[in-house]
Amino acid sequence: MKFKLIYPKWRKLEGQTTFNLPPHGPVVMAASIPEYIDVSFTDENVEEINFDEAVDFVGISMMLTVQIKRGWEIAKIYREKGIKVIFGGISTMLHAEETLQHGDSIFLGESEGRMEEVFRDWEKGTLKPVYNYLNEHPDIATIGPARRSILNRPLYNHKGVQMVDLFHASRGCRFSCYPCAVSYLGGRKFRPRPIDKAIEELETIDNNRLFIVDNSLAQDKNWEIDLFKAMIPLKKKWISHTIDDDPKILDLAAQAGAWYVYQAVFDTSDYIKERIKKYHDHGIGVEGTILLGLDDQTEDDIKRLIDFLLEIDLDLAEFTVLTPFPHTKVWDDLLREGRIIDRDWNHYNAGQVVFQPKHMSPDRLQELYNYAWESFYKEESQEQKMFKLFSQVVLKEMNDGTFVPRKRELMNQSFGKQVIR
Amino acid sequence: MKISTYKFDAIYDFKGTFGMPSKCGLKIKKWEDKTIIITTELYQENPGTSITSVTGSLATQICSEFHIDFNQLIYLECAPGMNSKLNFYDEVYYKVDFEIVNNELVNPKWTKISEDEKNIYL
Repeated sequence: MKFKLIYPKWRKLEGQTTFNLPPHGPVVMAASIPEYIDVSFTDENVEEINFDEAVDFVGISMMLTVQIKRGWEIAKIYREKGIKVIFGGISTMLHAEETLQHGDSIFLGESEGRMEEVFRDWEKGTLKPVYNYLNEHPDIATIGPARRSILNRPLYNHKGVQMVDLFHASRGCRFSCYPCAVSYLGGRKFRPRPIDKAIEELETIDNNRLFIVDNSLAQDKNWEIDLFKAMIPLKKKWISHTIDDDPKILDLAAQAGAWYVYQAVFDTSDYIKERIKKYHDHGIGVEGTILLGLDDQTEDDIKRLIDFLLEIDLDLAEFTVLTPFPHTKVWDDLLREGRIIDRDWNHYNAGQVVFQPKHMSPDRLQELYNYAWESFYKEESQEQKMFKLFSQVVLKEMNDGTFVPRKRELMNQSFGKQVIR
Repeated sequence: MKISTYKFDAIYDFKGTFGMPSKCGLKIKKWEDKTIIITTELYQENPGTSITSVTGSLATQICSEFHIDFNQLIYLECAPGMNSKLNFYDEVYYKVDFEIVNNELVNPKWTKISEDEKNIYL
């Protein structure tokens, strides 16, 4: 029995450096597929789907809202051939009712321990329309290493530089942040993986550079400390979302290989300035994430925020416009107020204004978003700033003997395509 | 982040999207010849779907369970305060109007209500 797992492509944001990272959802899901199933995987962002490949059952894994319409198109092609299609992943959960109209089945929730049932039902011809495990999380201690062997590794290289691998040390979130759906998706309790399980997975990853994708590691200080202590001997280098700014934790994070962290910059306070300084003092870089279009932001506020960013020595900045993804507070708030003006999911890329801002027109917010990118990267381009951060990690690796040179055989390729060096 | 105001009488269990077990704050009171239903979002304490995602079906479930006539209904939805300096976490009340189709409340339309209106209803 051959199961084809597909990760649909999406249109990347214009004017920004594009990197295709090996996706995380499909490899985590693939680890829970019974061993007797033959799995083949295509990430459409880096290779074409071969619709003529002989397959018995298709799974479409979708993380982003901007993937879902393409996912539905892919499903249509397979269903016209008489092949059953099941959808899963984050954006399937966020758009479950609509997605159900485009597939034979949808899987909601975490896949560990559930896939035997799905494949058994498929074999018996009794696939259920909905497998809803959103509220029934598997025991976090049972989550094993992701199945990265399904990835076509050379496709995740840019001129011989291997992209970071994605890894998660926890699930769920105890915060209910305004624009975020993680607590809906992964549960409203922080569920850290046992340290030994996290380390066991890290040891299996054939890549020294990682992106720890957890929503926030700063949810349980003792666990965070234990995790960083256990990571030190591995000498991995990693990017993550927020970590605690407690000096003891920052010191351990630096020893554990913290390369740079994402830090939300939502105002022009000294608190933000101090926090960034603390990271830098420990040799940890900072990429600011700046959300534009909140109801408490006027045009002047946004301009002031951009000026502030130029003063505070960020290593990188990523601007997004507020986007009302379903099952977030911002969705509920804007829905009630009739302020969602665009429901084309292809536009929900966090770079396109799809709602009516409180203090300006949608066009004006779009202009300010473009202005923010241009202003921040005016003196030094995004590529130049990225190169500086990249140089920092190379230096750290050279110092601890973990540096791996570029793969010479892939020097003329970027994500599977030929390029001129 | 915890909600800062508890103005409901009971925690109500309801079926969210795909029957997902969900919880909200619930207060039901008589006002003149009407029945007021006030549902409150619980955020972290709601394990399922938000009250706004399923407003019509939630209102229908409550009316059915408590034998409330749709035509005598005033339905309020509360997004409670969240102990934050950020104004999108402030407490807000909405009055929700529905259409009645096949004995179900559908097509919700939300109207933010003022402090004065809120004081009348609460």
